[in-house]
Amino acid sequence: MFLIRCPYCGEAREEQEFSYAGEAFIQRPPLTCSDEEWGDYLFKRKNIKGVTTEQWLHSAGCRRIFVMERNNVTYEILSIYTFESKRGAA
Amino acid sequence: MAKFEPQFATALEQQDFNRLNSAAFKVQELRDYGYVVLRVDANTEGAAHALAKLDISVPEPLTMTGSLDSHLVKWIGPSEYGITLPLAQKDAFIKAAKEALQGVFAAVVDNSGGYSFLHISGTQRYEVLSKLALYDLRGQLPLGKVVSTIAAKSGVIVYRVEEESLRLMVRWSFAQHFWNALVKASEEYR
Repeated sequence: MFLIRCPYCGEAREEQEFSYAGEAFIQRPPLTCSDEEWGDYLFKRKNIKGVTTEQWLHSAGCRRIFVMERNNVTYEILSIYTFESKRGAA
Repeated sequence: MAKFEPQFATALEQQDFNRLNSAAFKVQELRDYGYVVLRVDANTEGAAHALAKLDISVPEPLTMTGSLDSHLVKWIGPSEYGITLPLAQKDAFIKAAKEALQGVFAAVVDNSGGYSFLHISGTQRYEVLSKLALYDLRGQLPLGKVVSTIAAKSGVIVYRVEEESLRLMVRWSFAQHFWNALVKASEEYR
């Protein structure tokens, strides 16, 4: 159980309000890709032990998806940001 | 085939509200209000003009604008607002909103039947609700704040427009379960 600070609500809320929404920043391949590339896109994940970049959904709150960098061994949350802010920073 | 006859009943119409009617903990269902979901990004072209026409000022995150007498606009998400208004004004409001927002990337949806709208008061209201809710309603819900959270495993929208009471909206399909949870949690205060 941890507290997650939702970047849209601007408040720390309990984990129960959120849902995990998978690995972040997975590039969708072009429509001309091979079956193998498409299969990798759909099913293959990095499954990192350590610092991961994940998508989380504030399902019971503002219902927005944001990005969380988290160490899945220590459960330490390193950073939380929105997709919009990442786009702005790049 | 039999003609479809709509039934106008709230989810808790069959419940005995006298069971939760003490000075310590009192629950009433408010049946004379409609609920309209407005989805619009206030920065969209034309949105500001349309919202001004509807007399809506866009609330900051976790706050509300307006009042329950005309329309109470609640922040639900960055481009989603829940509007509670008297049932008698609902249809006219939706019509006006659709007209005003024509051509703007926005949606106006009547969700009046989707929620049970409760008025919760009594001296022990926070003691009862803290058994069910994740959120610190006593400490972190001042007047004018609205939170969408979880209570008794159900998604709820809680807000305060008065000092001595809370307004709580729970989804229609969870209302019966939520009612049972309230009855059970308030047992010791009745």
